[in-house]
Amino acid sequence: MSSGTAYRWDHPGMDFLHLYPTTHKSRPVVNLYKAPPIKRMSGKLLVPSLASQLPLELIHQIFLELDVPSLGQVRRVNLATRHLVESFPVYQLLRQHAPDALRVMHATKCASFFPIHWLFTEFCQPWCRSCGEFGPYLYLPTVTRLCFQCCLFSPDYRVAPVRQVMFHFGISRHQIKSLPVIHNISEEEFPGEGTQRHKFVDVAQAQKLGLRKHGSLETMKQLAKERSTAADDAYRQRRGDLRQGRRTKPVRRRGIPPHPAHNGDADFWRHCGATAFPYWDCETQTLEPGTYCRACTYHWEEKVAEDKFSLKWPIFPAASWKKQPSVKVAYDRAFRATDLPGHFLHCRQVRKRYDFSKRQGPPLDWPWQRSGEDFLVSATGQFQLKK
Amino acid sequence: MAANQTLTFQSSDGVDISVDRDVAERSLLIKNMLEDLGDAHEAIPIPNVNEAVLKKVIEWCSYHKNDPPSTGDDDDSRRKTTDIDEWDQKFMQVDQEMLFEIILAANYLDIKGLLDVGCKTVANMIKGKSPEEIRKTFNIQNDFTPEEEDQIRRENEWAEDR
Repeated sequence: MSSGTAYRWDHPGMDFLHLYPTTHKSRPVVNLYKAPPIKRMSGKLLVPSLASQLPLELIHQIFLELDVPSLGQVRRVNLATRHLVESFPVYQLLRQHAPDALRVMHATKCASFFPIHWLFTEFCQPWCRSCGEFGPYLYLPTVTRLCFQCCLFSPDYRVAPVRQVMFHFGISRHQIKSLPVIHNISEEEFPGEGTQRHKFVDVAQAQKLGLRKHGSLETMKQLAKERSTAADDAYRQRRGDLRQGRRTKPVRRRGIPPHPAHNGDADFWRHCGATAFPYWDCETQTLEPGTYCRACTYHWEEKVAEDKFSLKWPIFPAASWKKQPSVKVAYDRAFRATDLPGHFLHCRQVRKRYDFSKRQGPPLDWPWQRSGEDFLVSATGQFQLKK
Repeated sequence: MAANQTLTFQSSDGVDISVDRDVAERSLLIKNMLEDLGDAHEAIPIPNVNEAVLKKVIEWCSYHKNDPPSTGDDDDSRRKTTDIDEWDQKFMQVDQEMLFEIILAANYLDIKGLLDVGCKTVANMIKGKSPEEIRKTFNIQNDFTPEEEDQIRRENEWAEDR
């Protein structure tokens, strides 16, 4: 084991869905929702029928099946239910330690799809479900903890716009509603589509829905082909009508949406399905939003990436690197602070003994550079703030 | 072990009900007790559950007697759907008092599947409803002043659908 310098990134959700106020725009992406601390209200506790008939442990079990917005509604019913919800540890912990993720879920209108126990299970386990490394992100459509790399590249966890999914998997608007739909909150421009408000769903879930409806992948493909031929025919018909004067309105060709799984825009969507999600260690009662190796960060930011920063999202999303350079992978790799001594032992950038205070040129403006206070992690895993 | 031994349960109101052993063993409480005792030849008292509720519980256990045993809180059970299957939904169409009694009995008898279905049923009665609708459903009095109500609504703002 070895010691080294680490930091916790102040804005771990930067590359994904987030509601941080932005500096390069005059107004925040979405107005921040206030979440003041829960105030205790003195006063009599009336016992409602719900609580009088069931012991607290069973009420909590019922609450586990509820989604966060519904719990918010129960809180408004009366004093007693308010007290019940506020004293519900799962709700308390998530509100206290993962308010950013809850806000994003609210803003993207997907919060009511998930019982709070799904969320809490992921909150209490640190590993990326796809690769097994520490994962500081939550993939929203399935409430799955992922790491940075898997958010960008895992074939099993990706979203696509509802319109394309409906077209290619032959699903109706009504059927889509049975899936968690993520409303886009980013105001970044999508290639060729402007700042259109997209809605996203998980590709795997949508495909499964399509399969259940149509029986086989071949049928689904065939139907999509027929739909696109029909759209082309209709367009030709309208154009013909216009030429021969049977029609006066101009003809527009409605584009056939690209396939959700195979097209270049998917790189952009990759950033619209996940958000930062800290890990709660139930045993030590500590929060780990993800700790980064300062040497790996310094190496990328100062030695490699200086020319590439301007190419970053929104113009050049991280996912469009088909294969990321290993120094970039190291830069994006988050750890639990307790696992860092193991990383320092083999880290090539740590051995270079960089002087982190030396920066080349004027400091790059946030958000292109990561901010976070440095601290020392000793070989035994003790932390100490750096002066 | 006899394949289908019959046991007798005695409800809290003193009624004897006979149950097949494999049905009774959906209850972990009974299963563990039988393992400790070997065989039970006398009526087993179920002191917290009355006849009507006990009959409901046994009905559920009979229908679900061939379900695979739950494997605990592994990843699969986390991923299981929030939906309740059709038979269970019908089974749970009872008045509220009975519903709560079933949940209490399932908890006491340690029948995880039934407890889950019960809790989900209550949760579904709450999901997506306004506070006023919840009050009506569960016959709860509103004891907030309008100012208090407004304050909580504002505190909630980010946590509820608007």
